[in-house]
Amino acid sequence: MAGRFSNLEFNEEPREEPQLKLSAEREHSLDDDAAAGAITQAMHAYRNGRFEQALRLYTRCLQIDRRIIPAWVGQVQMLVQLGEYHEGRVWADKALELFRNNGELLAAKAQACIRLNDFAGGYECSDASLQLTGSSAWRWQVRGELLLSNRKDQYEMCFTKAVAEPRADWFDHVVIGRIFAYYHRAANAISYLKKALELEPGHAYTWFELGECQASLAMSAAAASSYERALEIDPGLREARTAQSEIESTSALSWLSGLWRRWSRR
Amino acid sequence: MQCLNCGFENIPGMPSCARCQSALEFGDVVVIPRRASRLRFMTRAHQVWYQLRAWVPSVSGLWPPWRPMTLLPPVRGWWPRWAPVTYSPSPWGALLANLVLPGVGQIRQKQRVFGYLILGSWLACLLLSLLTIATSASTLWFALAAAVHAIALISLFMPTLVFERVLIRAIFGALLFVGMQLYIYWPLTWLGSRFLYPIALDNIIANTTVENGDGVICEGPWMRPKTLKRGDLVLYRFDGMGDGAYVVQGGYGFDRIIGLPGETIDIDGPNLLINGQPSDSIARPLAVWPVMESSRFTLKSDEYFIVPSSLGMFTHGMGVRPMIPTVLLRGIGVVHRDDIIGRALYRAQPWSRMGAIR
Repeated sequence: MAGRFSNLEFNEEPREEPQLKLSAEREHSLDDDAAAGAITQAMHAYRNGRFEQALRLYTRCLQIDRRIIPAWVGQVQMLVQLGEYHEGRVWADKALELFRNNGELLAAKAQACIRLNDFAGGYECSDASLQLTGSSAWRWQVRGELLLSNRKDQYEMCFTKAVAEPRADWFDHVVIGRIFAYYHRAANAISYLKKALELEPGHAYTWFELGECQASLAMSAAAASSYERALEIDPGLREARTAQSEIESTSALSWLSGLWRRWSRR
Repeated sequence: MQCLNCGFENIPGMPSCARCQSALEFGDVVVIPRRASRLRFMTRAHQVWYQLRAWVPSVSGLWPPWRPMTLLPPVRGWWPRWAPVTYSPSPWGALLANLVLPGVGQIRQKQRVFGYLILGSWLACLLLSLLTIATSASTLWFALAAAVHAIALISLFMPTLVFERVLIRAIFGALLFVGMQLYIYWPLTWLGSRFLYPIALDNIIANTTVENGDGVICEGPWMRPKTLKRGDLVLYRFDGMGDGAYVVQGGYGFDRIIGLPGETIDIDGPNLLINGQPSDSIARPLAVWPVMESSRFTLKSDEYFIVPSSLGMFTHGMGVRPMIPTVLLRGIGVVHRDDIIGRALYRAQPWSRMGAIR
């Protein structure tokens, strides 16, 4: 940008410019690294189910550089994952004031609306996000969630499109699995989590999430095996250790309710 | 300055993008989101609000106020939004499931809220029917359970019925309800009564064992032992009879067995002899000994003798204790084995005296 206007005469000392430019670039580079580091850590925390930590890291990233749109999206996503749907929608509105008609932010707002039972708002935002240029797995995942929550059968098509996106990776299967788990469709969640584990078998938290879904369907042996696998990969995973000890002392009532959920096709 | 949202190159110094209006300068924009309280009050309040908004237009749009209610014109699309309609072309699996357990069909068709509501209501009606067993309220709760069951079945036909006239839908619903009563509930009730027979004791003479209005559960015919013992407190059936002087309304009696098959009963004033022995030393009726006309008869191999001491007798609406003539003793007191329903087991009502009858 500075190159375009470098021939204009403003009585500035050209000799100082290169030094200033270098230090600005150096600072910018350091900021970029810090922001990139924060957002990477935030993504890592999100993948491991540490939503609070992820939210703090996304916030730190934005404190370094407010222009990073994925961090804004991440904040809304984390607020939704933490059950703060109203606050997530409000924050999405705020972000949309800064980045008008951003598809990812609209999708994040749509998810917050869906979870607030505001399906009209969810449809509006999801339609807008899909109509904008560009496409991503996230927009299709939210669309799938919208149709799933409204008991429309086309949700499966949307999830298929999400994982077929060029930049989709194994974690998108996990996101879909988490959506199914939120709506108590453990059987569907298990199939997507298993696909994620085929692509990335070394992720401990995904094994733990698979175990949770299996336990909710009274598949105690399978759940215990999943928890064990999670602990093999990450022995410090507290949630898996707690769940493993709980499954050993499952009451008959919770086992029966899990059988009922399995039979009623959850 | 390049816009990060749409990539458009803007003139430096512009506050927002010329193409998408996104901010180019962020200055001191707050980046720390406001957090929810521990109770997530705003989230919960909004969830309830949006759910109510989804329900209310459906309820208020139930019937257009300008259209008088008639049976003939068809009403299209009438179905409250909270009771989702399945558009499955052949819900026969759900129908079969609903025949066994109402609401399960809806649950399997992903209408979980409605399904659990139906199932919960049905179970609640059955539970209330059980808790009020041997009273008239029990019959009402049972009928209500049948009605809820009918609703569960009817709702599976709603995609088809919604386009029919109201009269047709009403007839279909009535036929379904009657059919369910005839082919499901009454057979089940009959089968249940073969094992346990609940009955409310009305117009019974005061005694130390049961009181007027008690709800008692007796053995059914399939649980009754082949031979009964003297002193067994039984529920028995008798036919109506009468002549110009009296009328006996057929119904049920509740008293102890005094005479066994094959025994000879001698009644002489206040005394009753069984095979020549005074009965006082062997068995006593439920209430005080009534005065009986002198008579003698021998019980057949399949007959028992029961003194109708607890049956209420009335003259001009007033309770009396006249002398029981022989014809009444033979008609009511001599009971065929098949007319004995079973022994009294349990007092279910009132709850304050609930327990085994001894």
